[in-house]
Amino acid sequence: MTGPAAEGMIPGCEDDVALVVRTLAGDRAAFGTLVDRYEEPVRRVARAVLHDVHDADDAAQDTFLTALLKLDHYDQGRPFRPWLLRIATNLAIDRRRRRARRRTAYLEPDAATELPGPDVAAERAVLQERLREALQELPERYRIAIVLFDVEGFSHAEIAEVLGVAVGTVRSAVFHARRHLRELLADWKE
Amino acid sequence: MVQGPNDFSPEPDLHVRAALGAALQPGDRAGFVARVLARVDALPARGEVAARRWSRAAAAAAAALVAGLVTGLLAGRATPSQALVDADFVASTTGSTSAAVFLTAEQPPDPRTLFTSLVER
Repeated sequence: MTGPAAEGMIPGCEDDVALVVRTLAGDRAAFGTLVDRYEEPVRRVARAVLHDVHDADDAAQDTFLTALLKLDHYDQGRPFRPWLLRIATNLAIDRRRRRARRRTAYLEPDAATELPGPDVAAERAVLQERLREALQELPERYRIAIVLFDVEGFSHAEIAEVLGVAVGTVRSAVFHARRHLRELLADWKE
Repeated sequence: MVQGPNDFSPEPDLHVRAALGAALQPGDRAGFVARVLARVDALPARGEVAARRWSRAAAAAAAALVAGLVTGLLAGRATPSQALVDADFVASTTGSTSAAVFLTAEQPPDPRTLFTSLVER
């Protein structure tokens, strides 16, 4: 996995800023390359915020459309990925809040006690569902912080910028989220 | 409970990364990209967007102009109605020139004038 430090500098690939410039000039293919390059982190972040995978994908699509419409506001002197993930985070949070007003997502407590079958793939699927549910039990800021830190490889400072909070707040969020998820993973091993 | 120095580690946790990455891994990459690009194609062209913005701005300016004209017209009509209460009418009705000054003045009453009118009585 490439960290943020390597973003936009993929060997043999056009860097992000050049793609942005071409997109602004009306090059659809350049934008397609950006979407293809960042669809995974954007969808993961959206999924960390939104439990429903379809909701998350809708939010991820909205992220790219919003980015396209605001592309002329993007500061080309700064990395593209944090800018994009900030949009993704905010859109996912907005969508989650709108959904929360209409319905409350209820996590079946019994789902966690279902015994995994002998099939390894099924067992893995159950663990992943448990993890997603455990993630949803965390406060929103913790979820975003741990996904950006441990999955996407962002630094504390970069996450602080995305979330608009202090670096110490991000450290604390990552610490608590890790502890919670490690407990779950340890329980699963036992 | 699993708790240790790793919780404070400034480095990404590979175990958590692998587990969470797999749990949040999106599928159908090509389909997703195609859906985004289809939505991009459905967007109005930049020129159209600019034209719509301009037309919205023009409509807002026209609305402001109409509102200003209506306000001005109403204000213009209001002025003659104030003239119905003129100084002579008040003075002849009340027998007091001070009252006439009070009721027909454009500015708020001066307390000194009020005091004077009371002394006159």
